[in-house]
Amino acid sequence: MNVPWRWLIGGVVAAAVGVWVVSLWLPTWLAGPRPGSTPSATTLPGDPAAAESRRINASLFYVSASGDGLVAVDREVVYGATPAAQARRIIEAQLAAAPEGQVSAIPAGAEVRALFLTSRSEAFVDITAPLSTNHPGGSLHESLTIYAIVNALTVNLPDITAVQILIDGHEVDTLAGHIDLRHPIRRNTQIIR
Amino acid sequence: LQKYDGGLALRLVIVGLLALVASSTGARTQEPASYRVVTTDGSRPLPVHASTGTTDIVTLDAAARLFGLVVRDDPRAGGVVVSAGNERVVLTAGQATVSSSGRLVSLSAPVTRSGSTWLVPVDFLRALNRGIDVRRGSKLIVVAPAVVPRVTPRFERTATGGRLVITLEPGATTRVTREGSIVSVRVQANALDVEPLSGAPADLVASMRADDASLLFELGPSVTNVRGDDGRDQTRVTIDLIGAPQPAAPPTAQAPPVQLDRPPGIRTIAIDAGHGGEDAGARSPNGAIEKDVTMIVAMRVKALLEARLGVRVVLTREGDANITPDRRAALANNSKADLFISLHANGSPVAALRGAQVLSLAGQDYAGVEGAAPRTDAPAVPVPVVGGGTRTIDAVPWQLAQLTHVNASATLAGITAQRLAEAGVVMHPRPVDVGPLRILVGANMPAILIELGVLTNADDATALAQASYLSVLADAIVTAISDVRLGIPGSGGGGQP
Repeated sequence: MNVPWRWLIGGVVAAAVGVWVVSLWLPTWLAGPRPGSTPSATTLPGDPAAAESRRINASLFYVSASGDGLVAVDREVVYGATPAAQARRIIEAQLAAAPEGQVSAIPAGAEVRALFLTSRSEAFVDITAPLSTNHPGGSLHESLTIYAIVNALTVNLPDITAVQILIDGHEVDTLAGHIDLRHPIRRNTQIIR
Repeated sequence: LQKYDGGLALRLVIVGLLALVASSTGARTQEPASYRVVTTDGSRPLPVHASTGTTDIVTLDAAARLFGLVVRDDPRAGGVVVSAGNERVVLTAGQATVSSSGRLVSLSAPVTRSGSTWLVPVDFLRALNRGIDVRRGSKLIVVAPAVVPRVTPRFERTATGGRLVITLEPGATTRVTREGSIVSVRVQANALDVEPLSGAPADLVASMRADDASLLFELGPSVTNVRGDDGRDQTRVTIDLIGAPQPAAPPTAQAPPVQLDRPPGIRTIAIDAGHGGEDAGARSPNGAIEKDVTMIVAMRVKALLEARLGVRVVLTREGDANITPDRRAALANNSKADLFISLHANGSPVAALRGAQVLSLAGQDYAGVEGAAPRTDAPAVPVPVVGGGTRTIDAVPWQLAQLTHVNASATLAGITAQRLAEAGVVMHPRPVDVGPLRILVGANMPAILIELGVLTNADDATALAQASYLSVLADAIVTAISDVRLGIPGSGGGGQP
């Protein structure tokens, strides 16, 4: 069969145009700016600068005036784009210094190392060693420390039903000898005054 | 008839005279018995000068001769200084506390002076810090490194006869041998501290006696064969007594099932002095440390329990050692303790908070944990026995043993908090509470954790540094235990979350 060479060239050009339309132009056109918006105002998920500027209100937990429980205090917390990111932001705020007039139950120097969620609605919060090594002891103080962390997550993020605290990436028996940390801990509303 | 009456009268006179002699002999035997001091070199007696009912009093001279103590009067302080090696103990007449190398140690009775003789409660010897273990119930004083296991023999009825289960605390190497009708359990120890055997039928076990470091059982006439398990588990020896077939009972006379459990009532109590070693626990601004406070109260509670209730008390730590929670629970479980009392002192970020608190395990905190679901049947696990075959034992998940006792533990917590309050102890705003307490969850008996006070509070810290206040705490705890000595009311043994 003898094909004229101009038909061959025309076919190749048409195919190239088709590939360009399907792979490059069409997606751009479909994802183009919506009416009334400008590209500079778009907030894309995971954009750090935008996320840092956005905040939510969350209940954080500090020691009650009587000293035998916790009180919930509304505070602004940096927005997290995913549940895990939001959970981490909340715990970072809970571990930070207490606001004026409040007393933190968290020992100095404790920081979040990692946080991940499981399909069983449990959060695993990995915190640095000072949470344990700097703990002043006593079952009451230990309870306040643990439930400040557990309640901060379970009260603000209802999808999280229990929290397991890890120290430097490892499962531990207790922080200071009293409260069993070998299993995920559930929310404790009895301790809230 | 007259002759017969005369003979009867003569016999009555003889019986009366014999009774008189026996009663006078009995009066002599009521004098306080001596303690047996066991060392690695043998044993020697320490005479008891007097017994007050709550403690035994010995003369300081006798103790000094036995233990090589140097005693020196201190007229300025109105007391006496006892030196033993590097340890220096200061005793003051009328005081129930002594200063041992700067540390305050509580005694079960005050030190007194009768003329030139100093009289001290026998538990004074513990203050010497020379590894001296005073066991009032068995009138034994064990001087480390001598090993004197507490031996608890128990009889169980089996389908083929019976079984002797002998528990040793601490464990030791044992060897079971039989010579004729005598089965002996030789223990690698310096002596034995043996509890009596009860409930064994005479046709299987005619008698039991201890001979130095051996336990000797005289077999009854029904025993045809014996199988002994010696030494694989150093804390437990079992001896199966195979009996002759019993005649079948008449079909109409169906006997009630034999109750094989131990009789009700508290016989052994585990006292846990919280923290220890490098784990000091909470601290007070004035320097008091939780691990020291708990140890002093534990010793005091032990002395009072042994004196008042005559029960066996095991301490989860004897010195300043860091013991894991599982080891503490294991000691209580292996000792078949009826109660587990863990002593602690609290800390709070708010200095104003004070007061004692009694805690028990919150069963609901373990609801989602594997193995915590309520069971309707006791899981039985077959284990091999010496001589072939197997037997079944009930399996309790070690890490969740407390779950079946949470109701009883909560009741005990309430009783203890009430007794503390009645004794004048300032209580926490929530005197009773529950939590997922690591130290309690492995205890297979009613168990509570007592926070004796809040060390971060100045008033509580001052009180907890006073021997008199620690005695009040110990006394209230012992009173609470005395309340439940025949069983914890309304517990029913249940309590699954």
